[in-house]
Parts: sequence; structure tokens; C-alpha cells
Amino acid sequence: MRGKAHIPETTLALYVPGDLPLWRRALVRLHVARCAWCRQMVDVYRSDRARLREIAAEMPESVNWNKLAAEMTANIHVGLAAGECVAPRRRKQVSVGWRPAAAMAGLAAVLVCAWWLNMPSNTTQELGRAFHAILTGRGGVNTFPARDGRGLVVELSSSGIDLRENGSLVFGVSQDQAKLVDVSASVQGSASARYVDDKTGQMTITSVYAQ
Amino acid sequence: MRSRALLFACAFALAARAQSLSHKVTLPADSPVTLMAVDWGGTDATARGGAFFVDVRASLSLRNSSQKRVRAITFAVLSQEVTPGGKGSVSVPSLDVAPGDVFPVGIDLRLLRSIGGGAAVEVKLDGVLFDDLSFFGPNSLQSRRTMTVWELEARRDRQYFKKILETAGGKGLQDAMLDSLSRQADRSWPGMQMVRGRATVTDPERELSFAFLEMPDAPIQATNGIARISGSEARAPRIEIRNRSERPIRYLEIGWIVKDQQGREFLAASLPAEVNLAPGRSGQVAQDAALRFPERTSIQAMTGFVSTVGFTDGSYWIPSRASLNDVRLRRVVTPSPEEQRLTQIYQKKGLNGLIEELKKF
Amino acid sequence: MSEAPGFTRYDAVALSTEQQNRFVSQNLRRVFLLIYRIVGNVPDAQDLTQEAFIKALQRQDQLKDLDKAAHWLSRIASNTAIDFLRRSGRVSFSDIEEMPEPFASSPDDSPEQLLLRAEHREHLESALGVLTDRERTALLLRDVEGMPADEVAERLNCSKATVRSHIANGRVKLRRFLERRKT
Repeated sequence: MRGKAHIPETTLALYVPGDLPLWRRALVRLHVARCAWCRQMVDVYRSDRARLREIAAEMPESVNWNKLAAEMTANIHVGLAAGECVAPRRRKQVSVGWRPAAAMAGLAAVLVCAWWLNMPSNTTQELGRAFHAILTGRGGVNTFPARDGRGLVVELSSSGIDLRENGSLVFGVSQDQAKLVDVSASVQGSASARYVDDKTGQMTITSVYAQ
Repeated sequence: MRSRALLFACAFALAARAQSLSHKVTLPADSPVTLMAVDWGGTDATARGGAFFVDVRASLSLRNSSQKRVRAITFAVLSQEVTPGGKGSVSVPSLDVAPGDVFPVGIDLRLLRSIGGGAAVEVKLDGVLFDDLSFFGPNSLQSRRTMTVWELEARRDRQYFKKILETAGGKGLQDAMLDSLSRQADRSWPGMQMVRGRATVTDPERELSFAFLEMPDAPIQATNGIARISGSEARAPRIEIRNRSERPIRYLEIGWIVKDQQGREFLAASLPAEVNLAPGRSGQVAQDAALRFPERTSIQAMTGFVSTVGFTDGSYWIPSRASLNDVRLRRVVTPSPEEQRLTQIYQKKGLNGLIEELKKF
Repeated sequence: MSEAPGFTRYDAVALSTEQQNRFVSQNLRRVFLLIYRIVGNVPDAQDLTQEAFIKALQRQDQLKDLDKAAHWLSRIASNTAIDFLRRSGRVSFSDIEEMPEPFASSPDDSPEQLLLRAEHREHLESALGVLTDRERTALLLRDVEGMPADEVAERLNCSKATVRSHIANGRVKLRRFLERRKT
């Protein structure tokens, strides 16, 4: 029949495994019974589906299945054993009334001041820099443009890597006993510092991951 | 008086608790490396101001209890008090540990934690890479990929230096070492911050296009790319790529070089992407991240180059030495861990020591 | 209770090591292939398969009906693969080209079909590669795993109408790719 309309292919593609709503399926069934082209397309999609199932069940040629299966089985046992070792810790909830808490905070401040005043000046200078770094979120020689300080920031400098959250330092990488030879960053959220031990020559690469 | 003394004692107890540190090394029962000894000497938590530093210093002595040579190892360093980013790792590349041999791994990290959060550190095996490029471990930090690329770079570079020795003799090898050391010393780097996700931008922005270094043997061709520049910040890179190989690609990394107003170029970051790119197909990779440089830095130009490609069959492509000899790449790309190790050997043991080392492979 | 073929009775208590080993060996290949077809590469499929089994074995207490052990594991596996695709969607990847020119091959109804099987597999894998992640996942869950469409919608966190659209587009694109292969 010239100019005869066919069922759209996307509809025929859904008809084969019964993915159409009931009423549409009935209409398509009626049409398919009369239309050779649509009937042929239904057979083609049915055949494609069967072939997909066959091929999907076959192992890719590049895979040495026995070796891969052995590796995966071993690693599954690793993962299960690791899960047993690392049980989540519960933080002990210490409930203290506000008056005792305020009194303890005051006492702690007194103790800290006494400790600070009795330390050698070079130590206080170092700690002063640390305080400044903590309070301002800036630990390095470079100053960076003031921006919205929210979120995680990975900072790389000639002394190592810092991970800051909302401006405060939460994780840092720096080594005293090895020489820093390189820092690098990945925009996916990690940074690495490469150190070489002058005595042993061994290279160590320490990385930080911002999640 | 009694209540004051009690409060005083409580303050001391709290302070003492804040400084206590627990630590452990976790290896699975069927690990191919065995922990022979661990020395946590130097590991402590020190309260300073409103926070405390946790210095994790551990010296692990491990034995290769597998039947294969170990080429690299990675440990995850985790804190039990989970912070949004409190995860690190320590990797040792360029190993060559025979079955039964013992080797050291040093861990030296400093964590800054807030007082009251407790301090517990776990060092957990993430992966071991063997000389046949097989892998063992949970791979939660993608260490398999990283260590495989290091090993391929190591093989490439050892081959390169051995070839120099063959063709140009000891003098040629010495020149190559001095050249490498000079490049390592000359490499400048201004420091950088990286922010993931959308950063708040208040300065006017402009679009800057990437230029791309041509690498004829790279399976990926980067054809087009832009990033948005605002002052000393570059963000939201977008790069179009085409798979010109005959194999499907699942991973790629593009090196991002930045040039400042003084003409200095440096490797700012790498742009990794998990893709599903059939042969001949094109795609676009985009990242929601910002790189911030020191305030005095003005970004004038950007260049990209393909640095790693991973295929769906698990193999990788890395640039050849010939590609790395490009004038600009020589200035900005850090030598591989293996090349740095070989230059260290040259510095400590001289040319003969280096030659002996190269003969082992 | 008698054992269903291919299944071992698992009581809703911690499995012994031997039972765990059997659970893994009986299901490993099927789960790996499902995940491999979704994510499209062997190394990620390996990691995710391991992750799925570890999750499953850590949740043994959820397995109450042994006849549904395979289905339950498939759910965990497909969720793991889909979560992976979502996570790696931080770097967006989009197609900007038409489908590639197909490879030449013999008609698939020839008597030499077995000999051409490897070639068919390669073409079909290439065909799966032209689908978007969601189309491919929807197609594999529906046509290979036999999951009902409403369950596929739940897995992909979308409406039933949307998942039908993914399935339809996936099947049509597959058909187009295979048709061009013949020309």
C-alpha cells in the first residue's frame, strides 16, 4: 500500500520484549499482523536481543579468565579480612554540664598560657607561625588571592602539600628526613609530593586525596 | 577547694587524652608481603594551640613472600576520625625486590588534627605491583594504575640510558646524567592551590584557549580546549579529544602547562579522565575545578599534552623519550621516579655504580 | 529443604569460609561479565566485581530467600557499577561525533557463523560503545539480566518512561550500527 504508515522504530524496539504499556501493545499487535515491514523489524529486534544475550555471556578475548578469577578471589578475601580488621570506632560521648565545661576551658587556657610563657623563644616563634597559619589558613610564603574560602582546597608549595577545609588545615604532608624533589596535582582532587631519602636513595611518593 | 582540684585533674586528663595516639599497620592474611618489623619511633601527637600535630613516622620492614619480584607498593594512610579529605597514601616506586628479600618502607607524614578529635592512624596495604605487571590489593586509591605507569616509565628510561651507554659510552651516559640533574635543579614552580567544584569568582573572566603539543605517536589527539581565566585563577578546563588508535580507550591524562607574564612555563596540574572512547571517536572532557596561582601570577598562555592513555584491555601508553625531548616538555615535566633514582645512584656511587645498576635489568 | 540447581542453601547467619568460596566461584563469572558490559573495561570491572562481592558477603544477613541469591547479588553488582559511573561523571564525557564507519564482515546468517563469532563479538562490543552509559546500562539490565523495566528504572534512579526511552534508543542505535556494518 503506497504511503502506508509504519510503527516508529523506537516503539517496535520496545514491543519485542513487552516493554510497551498494555493498550499500546495491543495496537501494535494489530498493526504488525497486517504490515510485513513492521513484522520483519520485530523479528530483527528479537534477533538482536538474542544475539546481545549470547555475546554478553562470552568472555572478552583479551581476558585470561582463570588468572583473573584467581586474582579477584584473592582480592575479595583481602577485602573481607580488611573489613574485619577495621571496625568503625565509636567516639565516646562525654557529657559534661556547661558550668564544669566552662571552668575546665578556663583552666586549660591558664595552663596553655603558663606553658607558652615558659617555652624558649625560638619555639614560640615557630608556634606563632603555626598559630598564624591555623588562624589565617595561610602557611606558605606565597599569598593567594582572597576568595570564597569554603570547601576543600589543596595547596602545593615548596614545603609540601596541605589540605584545607574552610580555610583550616586538616591534613598536611611534609617530611623532615627526606628531600622534597617534586609536587604535582591532579584536578580530580589529589596531590603528590615526591621525596628522596639522601641516605638510601629510596624515593617515596606521598599523596593526599580530597574527597 | 576539692571541686577545683577535681576540675584541675579533669583538665589534665583531657589534655593527656588528646595527645594519646593509636596506630597500626594492616596487611591481609594472604598478602604477598609480610610485615617483619615496624618501628613507630618518632610517631607522636603534640598539642599546639588549638590543634595538634600527629607526626606519623614509621619504618616498616617487609619481606616479599610471593614468587615474583616486587616493583612498587602503596599503602593508604587513614585516620579513624574521618574528615572530608583525611586520606593519604605512601608509595614506593622503582623497587626491585626478589622473592624472599626484605625491604624497607618509610612513612613520614604530618597530620594536623583538632584537639578533642582523637588521633588514630592506620596504615593499610592498597596494592603491590609485580614485575609481570600483575597486581595484588584492594586498589581503593587506584594505585594499580599509578604504579603500572611508573613501571612503564621505569622500563622506558632504563632502556633509554642503556642505549646511550651502548652508543655513546660512559661519557655519553655521564652527559645524560648531568643533563637530567641540571633539568631537575632548574625546574621552577610558583606554588598553587586547587579547588574542586565551582569556585566563587568575583573578577572578570575571559576564555583562554589551549595550544597542544603535537605527539604523533599518542593514541589520543587533543584538538581544542579552553579554560576560564580570572586574575591568577584558571578554572573549568574543557578539552576535545579524538581516539586515533584502533583500540578503545578508557582513561587518559592531559598535562596542563601554564605560562605567566614573565614567560615562565610550569606544569600546573594533570587533567585525568575516565572515558569510554571507541576507535575514531571524539569526545570532550571537562573538569569542575580551579587552579589558583600566587597573586602576582598572570596567566598568559596554556599548553596541553597527552601524558598517559589507558586502553580497555588494561594496557597503557606513555610518551616516548623522543617526545619528552621536546624543548618545552624538557623544561617542565619532572623526570620519572626511576630516572630520579638513577641520577641519585650516579651522584652517590658514580658512573660505575650507575652502570652496574643498569646491568641488573 | 532441597537445594535449587546452581544454588547452595545459605542460612541467614554468617557463612563459613567454604560457603563463601562456593558463593564466589558460582557467581564470579556472571557478575564480572555484567559489570564489564556496563563499565566497558576490564580493570574497572575487576575492581568493581571485587567490591560487589565484598559488599554482598558483608551483608549476608540480608539474604533471607536463597532462591533469590543470584538476583540479590546482581542487584548489588549493578548498583556498584552504576554508582561507579555516577562517581566518574565528575569529569563529564560527551559524544560529539556520529557513529564510526563499521567494519566490513560477512552476513551473520552464513553457515560460517561460528567462525565469525569473534568478529561479531568485536562489532557488538563496538556497538555497545556508541551507546551512552545510561542506554548501555538500561539495555544490559533489561535484555541480558532480564530485569523488569520498573526495576531498571529504580536502579538508574529515573522514571519508567525515561528508562523505556533509554532502552528504546539503545536498541535502535544498536540496530543502526549493525545495519551499517552490512552495507
